Amino acid sequence: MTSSKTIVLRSSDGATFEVDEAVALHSLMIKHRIETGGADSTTIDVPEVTGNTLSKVIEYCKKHVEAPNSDDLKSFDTDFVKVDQAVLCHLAKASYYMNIKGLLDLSSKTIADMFKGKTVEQIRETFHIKNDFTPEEEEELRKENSWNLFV
Amino acid sequence: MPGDELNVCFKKLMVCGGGSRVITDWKDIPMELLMRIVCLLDDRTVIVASGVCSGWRDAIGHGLTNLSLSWCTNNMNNLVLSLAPKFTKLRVINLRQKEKPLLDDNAVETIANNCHDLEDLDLSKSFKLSDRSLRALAWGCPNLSKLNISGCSAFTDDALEFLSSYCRNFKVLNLCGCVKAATDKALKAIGYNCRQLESINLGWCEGVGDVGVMSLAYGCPNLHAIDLCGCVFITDESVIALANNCLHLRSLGLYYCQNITDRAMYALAHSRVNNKHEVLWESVKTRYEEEGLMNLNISQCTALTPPAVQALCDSFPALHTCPGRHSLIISGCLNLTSVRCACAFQSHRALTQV
Repeated sequence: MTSSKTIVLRSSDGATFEVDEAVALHSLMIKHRIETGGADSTTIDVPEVTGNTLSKVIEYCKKHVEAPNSDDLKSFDTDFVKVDQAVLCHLAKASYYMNIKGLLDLSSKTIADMFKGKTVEQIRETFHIKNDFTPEEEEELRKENSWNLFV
Repeated sequence: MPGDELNVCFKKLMVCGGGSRVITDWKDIPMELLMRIVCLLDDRTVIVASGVCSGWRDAIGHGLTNLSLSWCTNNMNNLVLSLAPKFTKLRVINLRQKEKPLLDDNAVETIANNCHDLEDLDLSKSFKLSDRSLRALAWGCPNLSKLNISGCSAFTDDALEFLSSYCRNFKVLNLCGCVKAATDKALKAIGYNCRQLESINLGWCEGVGDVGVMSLAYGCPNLHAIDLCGCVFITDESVIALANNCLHLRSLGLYYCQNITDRAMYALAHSRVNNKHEVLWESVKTRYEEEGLMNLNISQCTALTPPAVQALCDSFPALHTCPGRHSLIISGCLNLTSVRCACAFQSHRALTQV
């Protein structure tokens, strides 16, 4: 019985996570690092991702690698993205940097759904984005919004 | 990394209820990631998203390549004037109008002045547009390869000729109903300038004659689809020129071309035989049966007789009269109902052999 190899992932804030290699390879970025890393590739730095987010990402990868055909995968995914928008933002960015297609698609779709039917002000409020336009730009945008209608 | 430490601090603040209007990273997300999300939105929502903050406006402005405003019922012109200067990387723009014409020349000029990467533009039914629009596109959008100006009845052949001399990469042109623009003069220019042309719709362009079609046949060897429905003045000479020069012809529309006789049909059938070796060498991947004419509309071509059309059917296995794959259209030619494709013959034989 061969014991599966483990990889250590280190987040931006120094937290370390030991995972099975198969789980780590779910991230194409890590796969590439391992393949091109040479002998000393048991610890991989992921400076774009904080510890909190990395642990969630690993949870996603574990589920998808260890039980890819399970019946509750869909409901796992649905529940996985029932988080507040800040966590969702971090997940999306992490999946982008770490090149994890399934999670990237899932988080992108979830975020896209949060836009639908909203006005500019409502989107700013949902995502806590500050309006940084000048008064002149604001006026142009106000006009544009008045034309951007289905009627 | 200091930035991420700050992140962690703020996250801890948020967890402790320290304030919900603290910095988040939405405005700084990577452009590619934002575009991934934006691509899942409908066009109207994309426009809304571009007005959220300056970071998003710039990211979407750099990343957006496709936009459709055909859903817009009243304010299309204003929106184009407002959006074109922001979305300068657009390659595909759909401004197809539904009922009333909404666009003015200044809108097309604004596109031409800002969207120099434009490849595909649909302006159908914009009958308020004048030659000014076509000239602007000629100067501003040299990469234009797909243009739909069907129903733009105010364009003239001078402007179309001018456009073809600047935009030499045209692959698909829809000029349906452009009576003043699609004349032999313009087609000569297109045949001369646009060697890559693959598909052209000249439906109801009564100014089209043999000279124009022959220019296209000689100038555009990659032509695989040509619709001449309602081009009542063309004769067999046009079809013979197409048969002999456009070896990849797949779709031919001759609805209402009442000057067409059996001569044209035999020319098409024989060109297939004559050019078989050329066609085969080029198409190693596809089978012989999949090549050649697939769609032919000879409705109202009342001079045609069954032997000629049957010869055509025999030469082109991809032409079908059988109900499932009907691609030889003969409405109004009651004398042609006896013409059958090979599979129709086989099923007929199978039935009678029982």
